[in-house]
Amino acid sequence: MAGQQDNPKTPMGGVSAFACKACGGQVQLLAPGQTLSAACSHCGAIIDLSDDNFRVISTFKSKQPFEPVIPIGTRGTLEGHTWECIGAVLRQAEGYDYFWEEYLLFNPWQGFRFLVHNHGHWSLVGMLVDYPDNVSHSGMHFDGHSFKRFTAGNAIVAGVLGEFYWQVHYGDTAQTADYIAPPYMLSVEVEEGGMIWSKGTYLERETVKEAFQLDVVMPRPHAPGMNQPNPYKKSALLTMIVGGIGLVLALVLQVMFTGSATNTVAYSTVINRTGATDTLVSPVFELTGASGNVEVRATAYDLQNSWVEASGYLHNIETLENYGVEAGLEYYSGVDGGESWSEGSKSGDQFHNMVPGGKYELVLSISGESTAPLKVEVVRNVPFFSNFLALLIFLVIVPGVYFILSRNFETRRWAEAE
Amino acid sequence: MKSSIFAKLYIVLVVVLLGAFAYTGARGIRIISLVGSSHWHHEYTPGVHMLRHK
Repeated sequence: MAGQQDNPKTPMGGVSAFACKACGGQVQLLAPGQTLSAACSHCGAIIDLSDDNFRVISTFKSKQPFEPVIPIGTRGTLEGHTWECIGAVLRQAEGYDYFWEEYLLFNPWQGFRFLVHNHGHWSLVGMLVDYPDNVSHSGMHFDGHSFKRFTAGNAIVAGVLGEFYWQVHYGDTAQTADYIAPPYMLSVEVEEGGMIWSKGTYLERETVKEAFQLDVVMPRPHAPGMNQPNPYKKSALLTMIVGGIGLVLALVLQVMFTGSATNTVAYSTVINRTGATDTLVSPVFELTGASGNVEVRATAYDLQNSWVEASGYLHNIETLENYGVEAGLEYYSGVDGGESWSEGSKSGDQFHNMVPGGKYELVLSISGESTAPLKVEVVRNVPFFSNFLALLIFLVIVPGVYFILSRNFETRRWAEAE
Repeated sequence: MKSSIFAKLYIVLVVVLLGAFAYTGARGIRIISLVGSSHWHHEYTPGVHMLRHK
């Protein structure tokens, strides 16, 4: 935070207003006896409140327009305590056209806090009494959290409003470094007066708006905040755990289903094609069990640059139920420009669910230009994986999307890092 | 940080779809084949009649 070095001087007590030495305007103090400097609300000059003559510390020279989101003097409730905004500092990253605001909050019993507003993101910040002592370049462990170094640089005071418990000057520069463990951040500032550590907690902008009952459109963030909680992280974790459990259960069930599928060939024959339309009426065969799936397979191993089609039905001779069969086979291959190619398939099938057990016959009409022998099979209780694959895609895709969103959020966050 | 409504909906759908997977798998039902396979009842089957007399 801006300039919190210990000041040996004693703040003046009992003065609640004074005349600005720079412009003569009357300046009202919000925390008399608690503050060492104040910016004149008329001319922007910063006045030393510890000086009997209210000397001017620094005159207004900011080129950056400074319209605070929280007006000086506004009161609000955060963390169960009422705070008054008594000052605001506009700070700039040295060498960059990058600004942020730090609002000084005061409560006579709780002391001071900072509310930092950084491009639509807000954090409530308090000074640390116990400093981290295991700081490395990459980060540190502190207060049960692992903080990663995010950024470092010099921060300059570019604008001042209100009053402060330290002597603030335009152009004051401090070396800063920020470490994050969202929603927390640790900040260190090194000035001539020493080193100050502070800890911040992320606040939603709506929380700030409600706390101070601000009748303004709160600035919207355009990028992830330094210590903003990743909004996708919990959903990603939750869906990955649930999806993982679901995947294991589905895998176990699939192994059970595959193991229990009998895959019994109930009827099989080979039709030697004449080239014209051939017909097949099979002898009666039995499909076992009360109910199950049936697959009629047609395969022409010698099919080459031709086609054949088998159509008809599976006929239950007891109930007269019919199950349609349509199986088209076409296979073409060759060499084109030295590259061999092929398309189509030498086999085709027709699948039926929940076919009752009983006596059946297969009736097929086979047409096509191919004379390749056609093998026809009727298979009972066929194992399959399509249900599992469809479930697998669903189980994976949602956690996958959340994972990508979460990673993308972190990538955009860390793109703002040093 | 809260999980989104979509994440909660996903959990419900996982439970429902696992149930559906168990139900269909135990009965050998291939879901993709529920569409496109014809089934009819006919007391007089013209095809059978015709083919048997060929």
